[in-house]
Amino acid sequence: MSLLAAAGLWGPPGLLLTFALHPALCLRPAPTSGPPHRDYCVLGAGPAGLQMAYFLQRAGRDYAVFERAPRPGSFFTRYPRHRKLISINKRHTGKANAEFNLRHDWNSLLSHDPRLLFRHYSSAYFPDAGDMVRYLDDFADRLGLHVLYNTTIAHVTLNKDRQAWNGHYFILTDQMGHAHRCSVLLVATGLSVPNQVDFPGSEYTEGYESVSVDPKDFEGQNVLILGRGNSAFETAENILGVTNFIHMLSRSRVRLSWATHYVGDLRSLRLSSGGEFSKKYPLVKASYESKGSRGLFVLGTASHSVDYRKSAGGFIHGFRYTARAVHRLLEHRHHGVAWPSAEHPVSQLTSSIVRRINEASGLYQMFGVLADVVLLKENATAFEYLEELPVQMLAQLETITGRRARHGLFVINMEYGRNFSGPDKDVFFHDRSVGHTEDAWQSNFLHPVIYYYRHLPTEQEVRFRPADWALPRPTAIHHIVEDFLTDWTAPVGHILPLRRFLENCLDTDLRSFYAESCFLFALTHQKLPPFCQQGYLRTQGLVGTESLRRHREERRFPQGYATVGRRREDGAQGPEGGPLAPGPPLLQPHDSNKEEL
Amino acid sequence: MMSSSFNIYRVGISFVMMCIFYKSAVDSLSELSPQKYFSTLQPGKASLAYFCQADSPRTSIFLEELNEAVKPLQDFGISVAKVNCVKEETSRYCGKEKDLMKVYLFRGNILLREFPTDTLFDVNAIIAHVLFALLFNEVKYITTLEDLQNIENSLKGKANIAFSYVRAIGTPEHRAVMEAAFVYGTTYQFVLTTEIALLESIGTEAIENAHFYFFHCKQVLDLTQQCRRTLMEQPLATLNIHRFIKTMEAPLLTEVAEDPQQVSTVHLQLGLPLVFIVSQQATHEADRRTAEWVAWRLLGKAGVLLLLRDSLEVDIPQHANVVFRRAEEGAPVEFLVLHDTELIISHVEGNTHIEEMQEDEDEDVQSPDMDIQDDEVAETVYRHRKTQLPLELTVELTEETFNATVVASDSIVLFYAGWQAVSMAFLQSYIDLAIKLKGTSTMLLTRVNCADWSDLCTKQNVTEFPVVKMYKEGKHPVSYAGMLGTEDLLKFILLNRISCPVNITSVQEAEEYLSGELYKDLIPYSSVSVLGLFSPNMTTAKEDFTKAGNYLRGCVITGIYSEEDVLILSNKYGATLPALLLARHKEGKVESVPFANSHVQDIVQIVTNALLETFPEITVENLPVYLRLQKPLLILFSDGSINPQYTKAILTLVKEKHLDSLTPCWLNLKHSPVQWTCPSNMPLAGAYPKWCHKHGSVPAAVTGTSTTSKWSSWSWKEKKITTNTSPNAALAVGWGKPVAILPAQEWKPPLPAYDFLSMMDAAASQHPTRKEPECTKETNMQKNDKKQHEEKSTIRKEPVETLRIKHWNRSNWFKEGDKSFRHDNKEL
Repeated sequence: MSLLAAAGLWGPPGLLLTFALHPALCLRPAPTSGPPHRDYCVLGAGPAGLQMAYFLQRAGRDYAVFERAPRPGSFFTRYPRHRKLISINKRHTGKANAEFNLRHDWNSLLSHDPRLLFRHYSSAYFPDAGDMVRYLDDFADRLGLHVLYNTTIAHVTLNKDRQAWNGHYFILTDQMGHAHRCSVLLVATGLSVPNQVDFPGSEYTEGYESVSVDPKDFEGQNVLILGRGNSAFETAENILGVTNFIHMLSRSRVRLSWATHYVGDLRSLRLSSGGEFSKKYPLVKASYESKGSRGLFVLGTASHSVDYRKSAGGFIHGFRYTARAVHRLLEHRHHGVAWPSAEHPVSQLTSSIVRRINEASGLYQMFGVLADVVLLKENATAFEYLEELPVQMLAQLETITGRRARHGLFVINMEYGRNFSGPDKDVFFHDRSVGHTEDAWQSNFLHPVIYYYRHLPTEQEVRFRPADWALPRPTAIHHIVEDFLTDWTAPVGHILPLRRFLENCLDTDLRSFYAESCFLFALTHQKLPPFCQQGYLRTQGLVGTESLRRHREERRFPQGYATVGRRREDGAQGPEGGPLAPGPPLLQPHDSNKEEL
Repeated sequence: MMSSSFNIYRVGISFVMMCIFYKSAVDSLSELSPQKYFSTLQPGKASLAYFCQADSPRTSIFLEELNEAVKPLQDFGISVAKVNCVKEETSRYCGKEKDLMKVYLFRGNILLREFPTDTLFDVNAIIAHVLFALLFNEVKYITTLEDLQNIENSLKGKANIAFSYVRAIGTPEHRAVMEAAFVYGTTYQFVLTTEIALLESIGTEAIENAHFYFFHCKQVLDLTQQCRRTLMEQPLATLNIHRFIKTMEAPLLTEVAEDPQQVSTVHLQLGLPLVFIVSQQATHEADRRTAEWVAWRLLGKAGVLLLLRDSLEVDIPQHANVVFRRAEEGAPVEFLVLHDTELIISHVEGNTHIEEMQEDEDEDVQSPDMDIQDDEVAETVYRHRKTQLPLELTVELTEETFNATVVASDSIVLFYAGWQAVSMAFLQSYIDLAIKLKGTSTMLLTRVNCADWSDLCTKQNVTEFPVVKMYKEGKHPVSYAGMLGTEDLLKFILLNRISCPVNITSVQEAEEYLSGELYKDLIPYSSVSVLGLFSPNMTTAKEDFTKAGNYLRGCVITGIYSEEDVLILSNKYGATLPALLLARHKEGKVESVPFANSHVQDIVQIVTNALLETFPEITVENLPVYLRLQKPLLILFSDGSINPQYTKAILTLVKEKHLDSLTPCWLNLKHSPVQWTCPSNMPLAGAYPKWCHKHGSVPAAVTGTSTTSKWSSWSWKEKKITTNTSPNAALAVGWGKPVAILPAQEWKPPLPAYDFLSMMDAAASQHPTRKEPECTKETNMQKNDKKQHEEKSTIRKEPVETLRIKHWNRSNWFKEGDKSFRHDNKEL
């Protein structure tokens, strides 16, 4: 007799997302006499719930987390059944940059405390699930998050109230019959619907959630595993040594995540997922708010519908960022705190973008879902930098962030090449990488793409954008050529083309100049380039050292010096022409710059 | 031999036959017997005949070439024939052996030349040789420079020379020259050489191909003078030579007074652009000289015309000084403001692609190389990247060591990013500073690379680079806001050694402080010492002053005195409390400023104003400070340090309040990179000093104009601004007409960017059927992949498209875009 292990989903048969949201029939009396009130209620103290709790706590909000189990991360006490996590724990990247390192840390939650990094909890590349439980425990404890353990929310009702933030309160009733009234409900319960199979003989199957993890139970048997996802392989690997045959059956081909760069696909023949999307995930908007009830947000694995099969929103290393984005949206909606942003003069634009594309982990992990936005100020003399905005909400940017986008904007998104991705495609095909800056748009690996819009796109434009496009058609687009080490700091290969793109979008000159050049421009021009205006004229010019000056002289920088002098003798000028501007200086070709390419 | 003489005998007889034959011989090579051939020869007419043995197979390649040469040679009036040497009709031209067959050139029935078939290796060689032989008198073949000089000398004042160098006789270039000589041989003296040394000796560089020169000898009247030479830059081809010579014949410079769009010259017909130099009556002479100079430079490349603005009915933009019109019909006329004749030339050269379009080899030269670093900071840093800096002189801080370090010792922290050029340039100044301060400062010099310790920088509120902060005594860090250079940062650090304001405890100490004795070593860095005098009960005023002192920390020394005996000081310096005493150490003066009811900002303002000099030397470092006053600068240019007499004169003027609306200053030309800042008509090499007057952005009362920056200049002598003359009189003359107005142009992108959107569109439109890869069957995948790679490579070959969003039409790169666009069309 062979055992049928229906490899379904990981997920405790706990609270279902299919709430019965019955609007209460009678209007409740004034809040004072009602059930205890919280501004924010978080359901579930798994990674997503704790992550949200952390942000609420830091912002000093009134919140509580409700957890059925006596400790956080109960999912990981049971799953994965064979105790090995599939999320990598890369502890050394060769870099010190903590933000960058999160690109390779798939298990840590975001916090200000460097001790709360998962690498301090396990040294295994694929860590043990027990370490995750310990980690989550510590996370909740050390940060002092308000978690009500052993509290099972049995049901949730909607209570209409004009006073409420969202026009209604969520009334949660726990197993003891106590009611909790919440203004905002954040559901972070994970996924709890095992895939039910229904075919003749399905009664003989054993689900992943209950299958024995003891290989001895499979000694000398023939095993058929339905599904070829991560759970299936995990199960297969466990019993491989003791069975006669293992057959694996599934609707689709094996998808390896390094071929699809979707972490939900198999990574080195281990990993998860399958099942039917529509049944599995609740319907949420790009802002992670439920399409049905305002004020109800879905966090964590369950929010994966937003980027299913595209990005990492279903995993810790993805939803830790989306939780932050949701928190920022809520801060603005309910507390008038605009989306955090930094304002800089336009001379800092190139640097700001270069910095983010090189270190930002949220952009990298949630590529195509969260994107940075640069909002230009009038006349493009300054800009505001907004990080990790849910990019599908771009059209609603002004209402959801409280920032103004009247003078054009850039969106910085990370993208894979369109020709690269997909199961069954040989990702190691010849010529797959692009080395020339002018071919950057054909880059295949994850690389930064910068969109320039003169006006904020409308909802229509976002919705009906061309197929294959992450964003609506921009006024101009720039691809930064791919780099295997995701190091986009080459002066000529990466920064220079970016600067040229920004310059041409803004129709200005974004070069940097030494104080001496600015001095010269100040005496010979009515207007100065932004770098001189924003630096030199504010007595913050870049003086440069003797040796740099020498290097400069060798190159005759800027050429204007020489030509201005000579022009006088030509007498070519009519009075209108006036004396001459060293037109923005242009350099002679120089080979040494090519070296790096 | 006997037989050939027999043949000649027969020539005269068949005269009529020949006429008939000549008519019918068009296009294809006629085959005749020797007898018949000779009967066709016409007096004065050239004829080329190939004598061959009948049915000789080895001659077929040559015959093919000869066949091809028939038509072109006929165009020159030269008939071609193949003469079959039949046995019964032997001729002396028929060689005895099969392989010794030759080609003969006759004029009438006179033999001019005989050619072995191997010299006539192809059609070009055939034509070149034939014409060369026929034009023996018109084309002089020379081998030495002396020959050339002799010809040149003999033709001065008489005729022009067309001199060409070809690598060998019989090459396509040689043919082109000969064809040109056929047409122009009577007008110009053609000179030909194959000697590379000869070409070198007249100063030609990079001799790889043929060269064609035009020597303008006709207008040379003075025999000692050399003939002007113009080199043809296009490849040596018949059409190019024709076009070149045509332009040489055209007048060098034409004056016109009509709409540039309507003007038509031979240049346009030849596909060359027109350059109009805009002139007006007042500057006509100078403009004409300029235009002539430009015309010489552009000879053979473009037509140059002088456009008289005054008598013109159409409107030309006010500032435009050059009008450019491309030869293409319907191409818009461009109005340009080019301030350098070189720019005119490069503009024309950048826009001329008559032949190049087909040649396709200049592509790289034409398109601007967008990968060239044009950021001077990035460039110098990059070039300097391999120089080892003594970084160890500063302490590198990390997330772990930062807090402990800045708490334990007073520290200066430089926040920089390893990939950011500006901060890396400043890091070098910072290291220089560390070298200067080595072992002398109590301040610890540290640095944080934000590329590594991003979170730390964010926590320290550092989001731009570079940033310098001072962490002192556990107080709030102070951000450095001065120039990013060694000197200014050094001053900041040294002045921060004492507290701001420093507490003075006795009258004697106060006197020492004011005399500069107390902080002797700091006086070079702070030209003024500020002392606030307060009676002990003035708490708010003291607080405000302390705040101001704090704000000014690092740029000036401030002190505070509020003991009971403060009146001793206030009486001595004639101050009413609260008061500021400003000790100017250079002048050894102490002045007092009352500041009752002044707020922090006012105090700061008073002190900063006190730091300004009345007649400063303008330097790179202090210009921004004086520009901040928002007054026009009155600059005295001095070739070396300034004459005290001038200083005195200016100070008198200032005292009498004649210069209130201006900031008088002087500039040492020896120290400054600005030898050229004075306007054009001021020969700077001449007498100094010179005055230049620059209006800032402020409405300037002096000239009555408000919006534009202008330079006025006049020499010292003219105005006689001396103490003897009444300054009023001098100023009454006013500042005169501005001799020049500073250019007001915006700073535009120096070069275009890649237009990826268009590239993506182009790729998408080429392959509209490309579907999602998931849909493709496994077997197709390989093929598909391959196809995509092919696509990729084809895309690579296309000219790179560039992006310039605004002002696309007006910019120079328009042509670039246009060009690639046309190119695309062609391919489609």
